[in-house]
Amino acid sequence: MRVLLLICGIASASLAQASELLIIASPQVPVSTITAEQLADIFTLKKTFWTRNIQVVPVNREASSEERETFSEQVFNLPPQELGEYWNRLRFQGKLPPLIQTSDQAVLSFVRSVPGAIGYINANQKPSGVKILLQIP
Amino acid sequence: MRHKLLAFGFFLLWLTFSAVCQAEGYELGQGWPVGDYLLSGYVNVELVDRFDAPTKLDLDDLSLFASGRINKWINPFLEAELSSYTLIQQGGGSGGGDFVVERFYNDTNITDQNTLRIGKMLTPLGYWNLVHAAPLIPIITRPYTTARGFEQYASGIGWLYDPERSGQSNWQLYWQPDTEWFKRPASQAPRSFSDVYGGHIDLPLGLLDKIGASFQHGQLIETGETFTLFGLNGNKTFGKLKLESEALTADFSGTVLPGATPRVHDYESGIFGLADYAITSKWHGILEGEYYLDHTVYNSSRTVLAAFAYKPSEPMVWKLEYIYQAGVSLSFATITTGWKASFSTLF
Repeated sequence: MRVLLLICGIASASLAQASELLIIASPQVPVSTITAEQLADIFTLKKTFWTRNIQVVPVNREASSEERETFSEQVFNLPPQELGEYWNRLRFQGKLPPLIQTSDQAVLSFVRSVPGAIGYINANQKPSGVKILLQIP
Repeated sequence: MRHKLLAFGFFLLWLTFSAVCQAEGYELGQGWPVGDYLLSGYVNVELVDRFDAPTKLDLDDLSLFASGRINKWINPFLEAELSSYTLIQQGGGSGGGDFVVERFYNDTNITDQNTLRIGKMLTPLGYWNLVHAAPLIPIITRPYTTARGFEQYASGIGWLYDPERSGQSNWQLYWQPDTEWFKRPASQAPRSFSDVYGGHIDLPLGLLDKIGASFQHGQLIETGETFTLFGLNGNKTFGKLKLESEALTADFSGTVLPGATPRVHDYESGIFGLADYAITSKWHGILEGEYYLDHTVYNSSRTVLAAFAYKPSEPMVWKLEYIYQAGVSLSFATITTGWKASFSTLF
């Protein structure tokens, strides 16, 4: 029985961890923390510059990923499809929606190497060479 | 001409799909990044069964966008498309179609909130005109209210204000000092405009919901009349139900040029309302109704439309709709009684 409880505990802990995200950014960005509201402004393309010379470059996961679903629900309280629709409409209006990277490692590598980049990865990752601005939820 | 258009269409398809197929991690609908640029677009194929014309299958739109984000000063955007190409029709025949440069402009980010746009751009009159790509709109048949009575494109200069925080109002002003650049063919733009200026303001009610107001003033080249237009638009989501509406009214004045269609009203007005209910996450049921009074005919056009849409994935949509049109059939009519079906996807 104890073993069963232990297995359930480990399973639920790992599930909880999978639903947590780290917001990471390039070392060049001029902030060390960020609020959920500021994050929403960045991913809705409202805020496009960190400073006069550093553009904000938001990075997204693919639509089918668990991280994208968590991000959409935690930051915007919307299903990923509605947020995807919003970005598609912006793209048709000539704006560049967040770039897609298809794994945590790809997001990490991109954010590490592109000045102004900001993205999210699963909280079970141990990122290096980037700033961690926020953990959600 | 037909073969050139077909060749251009296949070139666009080859360019896009050969590129995206090689791109690691490419997802349909997300476009293809090339350095500081993003190549993307959409395709729309329509089956039209009007009661007053042969049934036909059209390549309604094959559209390619290229948008760049180079620096604060240089952010170009191009949209070119092959449109209204008949693939096959009852009784034989194919062809037609037009190559159109829909938009070509550069954005300069004066500040984070203020953008100077120079080139050929969509006019922000209502909401539909800004986002009219087939995969992004709920029905196949575009209401007259969203297209007929005003200049859809401004070739000149625009100023866009978009606040840094969500929830605050944004606005846009534009001025077209002369006529349209890369003029669209008469089949797509039966009215031509010059000396156009206008503006639009939006008040967001959420991420996707908003209400807006528009203004446009200009001159109709074919008739010599001047017009002043005011419009309102709004959309609001209530759970699975999305409601959307646009309305406009325009005053016309000035002496009509000899030989041009005389006006019978000094005004033109229209309104449509649309309800889109998400039956499931993939199936939608849609109802739409429209009233439109053209300033060159005595009677109005009334339309009722019922539709289903199936969205197997985010960028892709199948649509089926029945349109019932009553009252007068307008010149250059694009809405007539009958069935339409379509498939469209972003790429």
